[in-house]
Amino acid sequence: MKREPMWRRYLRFWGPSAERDVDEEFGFHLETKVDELRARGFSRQEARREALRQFGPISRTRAECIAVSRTIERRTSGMEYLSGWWGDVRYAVRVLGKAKASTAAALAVLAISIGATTAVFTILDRMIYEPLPVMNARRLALVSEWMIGPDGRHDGGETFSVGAYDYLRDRNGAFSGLAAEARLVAREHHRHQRIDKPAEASLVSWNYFEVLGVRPIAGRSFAAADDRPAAPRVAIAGYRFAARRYELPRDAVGQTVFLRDVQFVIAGVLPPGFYGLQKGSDPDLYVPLASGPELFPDADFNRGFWLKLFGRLRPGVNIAQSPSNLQVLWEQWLRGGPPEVQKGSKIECVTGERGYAGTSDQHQRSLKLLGAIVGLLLLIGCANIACLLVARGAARQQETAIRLALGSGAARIVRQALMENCLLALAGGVGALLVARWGCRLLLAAFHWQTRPIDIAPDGRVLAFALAVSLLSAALFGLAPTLQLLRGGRQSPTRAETVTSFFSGRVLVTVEVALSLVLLAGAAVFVRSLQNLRALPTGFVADGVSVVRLIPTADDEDGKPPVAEAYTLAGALRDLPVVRSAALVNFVVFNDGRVSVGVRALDSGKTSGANMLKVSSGYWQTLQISLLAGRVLEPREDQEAPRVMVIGQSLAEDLFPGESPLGKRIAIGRPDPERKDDGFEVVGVVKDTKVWSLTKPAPHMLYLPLRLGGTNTRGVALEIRSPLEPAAIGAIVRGRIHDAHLPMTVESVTTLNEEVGASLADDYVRMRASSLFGVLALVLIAVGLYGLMAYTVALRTREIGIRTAVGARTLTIMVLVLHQSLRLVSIGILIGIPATVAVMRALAGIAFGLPPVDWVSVGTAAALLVAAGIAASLAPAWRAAHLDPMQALRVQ
Amino acid sequence: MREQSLDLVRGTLDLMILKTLTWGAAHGYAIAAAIRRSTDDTLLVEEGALYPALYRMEAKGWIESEWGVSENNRRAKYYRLTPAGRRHFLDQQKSWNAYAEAVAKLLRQNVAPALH
Repeated sequence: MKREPMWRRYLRFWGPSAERDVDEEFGFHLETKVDELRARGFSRQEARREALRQFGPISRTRAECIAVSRTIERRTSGMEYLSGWWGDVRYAVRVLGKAKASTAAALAVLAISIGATTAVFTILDRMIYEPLPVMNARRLALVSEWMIGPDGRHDGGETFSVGAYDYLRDRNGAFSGLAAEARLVAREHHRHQRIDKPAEASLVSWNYFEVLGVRPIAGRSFAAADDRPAAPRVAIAGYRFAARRYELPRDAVGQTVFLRDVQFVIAGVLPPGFYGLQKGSDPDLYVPLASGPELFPDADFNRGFWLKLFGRLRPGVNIAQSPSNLQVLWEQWLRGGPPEVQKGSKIECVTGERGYAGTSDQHQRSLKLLGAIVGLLLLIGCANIACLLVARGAARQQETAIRLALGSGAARIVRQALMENCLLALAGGVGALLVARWGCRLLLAAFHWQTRPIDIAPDGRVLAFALAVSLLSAALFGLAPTLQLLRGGRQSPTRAETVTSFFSGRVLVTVEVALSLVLLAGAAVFVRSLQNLRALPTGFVADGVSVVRLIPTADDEDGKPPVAEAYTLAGALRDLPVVRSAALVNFVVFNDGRVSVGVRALDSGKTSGANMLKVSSGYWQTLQISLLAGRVLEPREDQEAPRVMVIGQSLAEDLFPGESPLGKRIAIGRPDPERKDDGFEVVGVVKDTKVWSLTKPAPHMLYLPLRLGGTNTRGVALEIRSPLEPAAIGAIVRGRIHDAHLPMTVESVTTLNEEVGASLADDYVRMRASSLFGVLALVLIAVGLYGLMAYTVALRTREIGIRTAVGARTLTIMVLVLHQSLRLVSIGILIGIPATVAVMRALAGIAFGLPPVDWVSVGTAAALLVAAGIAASLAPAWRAAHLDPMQALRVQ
Repeated sequence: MREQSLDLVRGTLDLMILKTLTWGAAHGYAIAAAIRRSTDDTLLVEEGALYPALYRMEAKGWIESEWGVSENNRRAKYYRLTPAGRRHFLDQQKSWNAYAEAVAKLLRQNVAPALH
């Protein structure tokens, strides 16, 4: 037997057909028989008749054979299908392994973009989306009360008092249990004892765990008896705390802890994974509400509105029905309640499945925006990989055609390609998990959440998300190459040349450019918005000022800020030649919060409000706040602590319109009829400064001598104007503290600029993330364009050779290539502009000081893209222009 | 007469084909011709009956087929024994021999056996 020659196999390109095979086989049999009979002397007609007679009933036999061969085919294709998967995986690994550079590039792109997406999802999931890890969380409802203001919703009340809670809990018909948690945290403190990582306790109603359906893993839960004022004080420990503090979490039962010097005995330990109702928190201890008055003697615990309520809906009760039931009771209680409580608020119930969100709306918006940005990057990345695969697919077209000719089903070849894509995406997904871990840490740092007990280890939900995104990207970047494969499959394998216009590659690059325009213009908007914010006048000069926060040494038990020692330190530092000026302040503006007080002019009785800072002399010199009238505090007053104050310009104008405030007296706080209040004498007026918000107008300001005391802060801040770096300042300060044996420690050393920037954390996150990802998008674009241009130059080698041979100049050839690349970029920019405009309109509320559609940002983004386009095509253009025409013409 | 031969052929056709293929790969026509020659035209009445048998044996994995070019330079489908087919043939051959032996012994008998 001779083997069938190759060309005959090509005839079978369309795959095996049972009928044709049977007919051909029978035909051969009959023809051979006829030949033989004729050789024996039969006539043509007789021979044919005899052959058919000897063969028997041909149509019945034919049908039988076709039926049998069909079953064979079905079975072998099924076998091939099953045995093929593993082969496909091995083949895919081999193919991907061969193209090391492009595979590595694709993996990097996937790992970064899927990882970033997963990181954002992880944080959003932990802080917002994840359902509470409690029994049947869907039946939980969060109860709040809202005042309806003239402008719709007013976020006032929200919380309830202990009396209101008791009333609602005992009478409502909507909930099988209504529980409460106070908005107060009691810290572990025991006199004369130094505690490492003090515990923080949440105050909850005794039925808190019962309503949530959480049972302790050791000890017992709360009982009603624990929530009576005279009951022995017991606490339930969170698992993390118990594991951190005691050798075995179970050992916590029976241990004693002191919260604000009140003794509690731990009665139970909660299961791991339970973190309470508030996302992004995890109370170390839970104590009954009844301990509230003892723990917070100043808070008027039983009458104040401290409680957040939640309940488990009674079976058959719908969450939409529950507010009406509570509303009736709430109004009854308000009628009988204390008169100072505002009437007319509405009860609202929302699902408690996810607990309380762990972030502010502002951070939430930033996170979602970040999600959108990384999603965009993922799309760009996918387009880029698709481009890469299409280019590789074009090179493999011939191989594909031959495989088809050899009998591979088209479906099989597509499946092969899908396998490669999925493998690539899944490998990218694995890398993405590492990137995500790192990304989560970055995000936590960016939002100043490092100390929060947020578990960033990927759980089932995160893994499922990463897997879904990986497969989705595989589908996205695999689509174009697969279509190309199918198109290519219809070509005859003898048409071996792979000249293609590479249409899909150009479309993909154009799409990439359009998406990048959106991303880059967005980044430009955030950069410019932040610049605008930072350019806002604050009224002081932050450049060159270092901030050193000082706290008392831990064994100093009265917990008061080390003011006297800080004065000594500041005095010593002022004598150093490198220190231009130094001052002390109780609050660092912008980052430490603020204290606003009511003020009253003693002579006219006019009242107003102001932000209060307590400072030492030198504060205005250090921050370079201009003095408008009178004087500022003098160094001698750092010791004497006279009852004087310096006020801001706007407060002066408000309290003393049209007259000089100097020498006038101002009282702080509500008038107390039982005590005579001389107030403070105004000695100077300074320019207004912003203290907590850059975008809000500068508030009224007043400054008191720090020496007067009465500051609620734990520490005190030293602000130093010096040409030295903050680290050097920190070293000097630490040295002084050590040398003089001062009982304080340096908590942190920063610059005042950083402190001001801290109020812009969200803006910085947006700016940094969008810029980082914008740069990545630019790199992707450049790589994509480079690949495309290098490929097209290779395709046009002959043409370019001819042009060079007939005298085209180097520059002409380069322009030819650049022109092609820039045309793609321009088309992409044109397509991207409407999308960019739409996105900018959506961002209008977030960007500061920019028109709704900021054409400067669009222009910047477009310019960057054009620059990237030129940079990416320069090398291929150069190569094209310097081709040796003789060699170029020899290229097939 | 014709119907009887056909039944007989169906029962033994597989065995004859396998036997023919033990000499080497062959196309359908060659197999038919070989069976005719070695059985003096008595067993294979209809050559067409060969093909369903070939297809079924291929489905069972006893033989495999491949397209090739015949001696007269035509495209022809060649069949060849698989290792499984060879094993099957040896088994069948043994049991066929035993069966034929038994039948022959019965037919050779001259004395009536005890019927009760």
